[in-house]
Amino acid sequence: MLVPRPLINRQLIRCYSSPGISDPIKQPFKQPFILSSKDAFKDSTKDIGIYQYLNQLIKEQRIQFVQDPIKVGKKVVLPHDYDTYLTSPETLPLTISLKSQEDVSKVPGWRRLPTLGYRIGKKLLTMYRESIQTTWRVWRQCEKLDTKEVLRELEFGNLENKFPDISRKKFVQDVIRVSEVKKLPIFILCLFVFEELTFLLMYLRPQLGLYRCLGNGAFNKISKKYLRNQELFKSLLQEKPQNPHELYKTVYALPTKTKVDLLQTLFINKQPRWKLKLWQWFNQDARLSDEVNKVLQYLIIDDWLILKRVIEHTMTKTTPMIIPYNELVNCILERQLYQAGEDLNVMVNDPIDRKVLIQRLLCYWSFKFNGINIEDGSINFTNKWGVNNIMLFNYTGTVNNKFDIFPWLITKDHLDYF
Amino acid sequence: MGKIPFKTLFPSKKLLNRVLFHMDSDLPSRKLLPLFERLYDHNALTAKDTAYADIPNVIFLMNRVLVELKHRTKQQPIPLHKMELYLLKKAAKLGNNDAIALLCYQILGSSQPTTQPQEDIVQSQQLLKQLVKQNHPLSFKVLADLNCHMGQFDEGKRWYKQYLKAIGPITIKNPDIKFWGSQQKGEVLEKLGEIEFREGGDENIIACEKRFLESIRITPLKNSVKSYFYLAMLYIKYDPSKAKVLLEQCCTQGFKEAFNELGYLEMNYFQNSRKAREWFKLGMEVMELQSFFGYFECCVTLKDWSKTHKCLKSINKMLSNESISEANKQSIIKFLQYHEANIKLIQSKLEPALKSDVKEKTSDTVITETASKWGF
Repeated sequence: MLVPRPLINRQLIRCYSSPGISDPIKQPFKQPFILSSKDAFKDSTKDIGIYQYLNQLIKEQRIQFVQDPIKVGKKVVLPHDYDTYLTSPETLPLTISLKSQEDVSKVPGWRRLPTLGYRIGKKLLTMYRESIQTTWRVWRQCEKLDTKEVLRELEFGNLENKFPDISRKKFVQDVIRVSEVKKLPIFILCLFVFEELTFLLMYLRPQLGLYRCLGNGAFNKISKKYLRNQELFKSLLQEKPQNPHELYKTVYALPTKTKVDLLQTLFINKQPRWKLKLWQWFNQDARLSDEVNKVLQYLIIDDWLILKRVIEHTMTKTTPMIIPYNELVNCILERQLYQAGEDLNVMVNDPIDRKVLIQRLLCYWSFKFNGINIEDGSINFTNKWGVNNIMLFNYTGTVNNKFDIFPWLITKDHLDYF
Repeated sequence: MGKIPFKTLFPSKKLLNRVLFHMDSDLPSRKLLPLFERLYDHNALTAKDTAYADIPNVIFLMNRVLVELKHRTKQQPIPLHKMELYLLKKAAKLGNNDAIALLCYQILGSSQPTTQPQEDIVQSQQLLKQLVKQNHPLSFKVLADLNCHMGQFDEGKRWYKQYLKAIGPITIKNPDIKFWGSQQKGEVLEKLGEIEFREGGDENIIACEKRFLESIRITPLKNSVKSYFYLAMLYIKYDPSKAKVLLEQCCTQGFKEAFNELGYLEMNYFQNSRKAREWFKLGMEVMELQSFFGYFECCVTLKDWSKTHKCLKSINKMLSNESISEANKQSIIKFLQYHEANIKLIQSKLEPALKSDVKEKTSDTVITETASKWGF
């Protein structure tokens, strides 16, 4: 006799407000890591399998972060064979300035400055040309991917059957990088008019330039703009719940203006500001909600694909996994795992600060994916967090105190914990 | 009491024409209506009356027309029901395989098998065996339905798959499978999908989604409400907006489980308590217990204390009702325990109003009952 299967989906929608009706799904994996002391941190991470595993990989240097590759003309400067499934450094900005790469010590003092300017200008123009070509190629080769569908297939463990060519690199390019093509006409025009001085123009207005072409200063400006806005989440937490990390909020709980504000602080959102304002004026609430959900789903899929690849690679191969610095910086920027006043490019090139960034990312992933079978999705992500739970934007995976509502990021002071 | 005239009993010619057009019938209503009338008057159709009486396909068509009219008008007078049975038996006698298969199902799948003569049961089994040997699609479906009826779902699944293999794809180029075929196929896809959905597992879920989508494609909404509902359940986690549209479609057909689901989706995900309250209201009209709970929660969110109080009164009334099942009783108790604080709040809010009500009632000599059946 076939026993009717309980509709877990039905419970999923209900359990957040009506535990009296249906027993809520047990969620034992939602406690963030506590940074108040070394013992507290050790205690909170000791049973977290995924954190222990990833931390071990970093310690054993089976995941290595290396200087991002620089390609100048036909000469490709690749320090290592970085993972091509995972990374696409050719679409990301450089973490070191071109100036620091030039060695003009042998040039006589009186012509050092013009030589330096000439060499940097030449490299810049080559980089701009190549970025234009890459952007065009990404746009031409892109396929339209629906994040909802990809997430669903990931959870069913059916991703490879449904999308045979998919990789993390392709996913990122098809969903996010493809929108860079819109910047091309103005960027090319600027390049014709100002040539090397486009660099200056991009420093003044970073939104004008292609993402790859951003200099360190312009990138720093961008990172300041997309800082985590905790005021948004403060308004959502009027009543203090017993465990704040078990909270579930849908995007529909936010007022229209807050949705616009939230979207403007998310780097992945590619809708221009004027469009968001227009939707706000005409009360197009559903469109705004869709955009927020899209960003949320993109982040979940991106995290999932990275972790899946890391686990697959380290389980099957003995060679270390190579990830460039700019990929690390981009991950931190997209997930808003930084504070005001931090320059990510400087941090990633400093060995101690790099450790901080890596640990932030590890804690973020471990908190989010703890208890989930990443390989085939047999324990569901949506069951753990709820359908499109926007509170995920607020969590970094670490708090200062057990009962803290707002996240607390790892700093240099915490480095002896790991 | 005289017999009711045929014209008042039988649905309008306009509806008949629409049904015949939909069924892609070769015969027009002006030929079929006299046949129905003659059958109604004489309780039989003989070769003397009409040349069509011996053509099995026409007789079976008339039977299908009556079934379709029953579905469209959502009712069937007893004389028309008798006519339907007569036509089915006659078509089976004349050798229409579909009619034979359906008649076999009626006999073998009867809810009271002991009332059926033993001879009929044996003969039906033999006929069904012969049809299966001939690779007749409907006989596969009948076998599958019978198996599911007895709780043998694996066997049922096998026969449903056999049916799908035998019937092939539904296309315009395939003239044999018209309305009747697509309707059956839609039904089979829906049942197969339902079995797979309940079995669970990722592979089954992926397979059943395809079946529900195909069922929706080839059958009208009223025949594939369950497919819409199950699809909504599949999409609710990843695309709640799509699930909402599908559930709304189910609600237009009065599918009662959909009211609860849609209400909770609106309340908890879309955060629209007003809309959710309307769906729960409809759910309460068909006595869905979960709708009462949902309505209560919506009213609490909207701070509509008088309606909350009335809803609570109805829930308490249900609890004291002896005919209520044990499971429902337990969920009501659990619900009341969970909302204890809210109930106290309602009482404190409504206490002055209730007291003044009692005073008014005691002072009046005649007490009028204004509340409706559900206490509203």
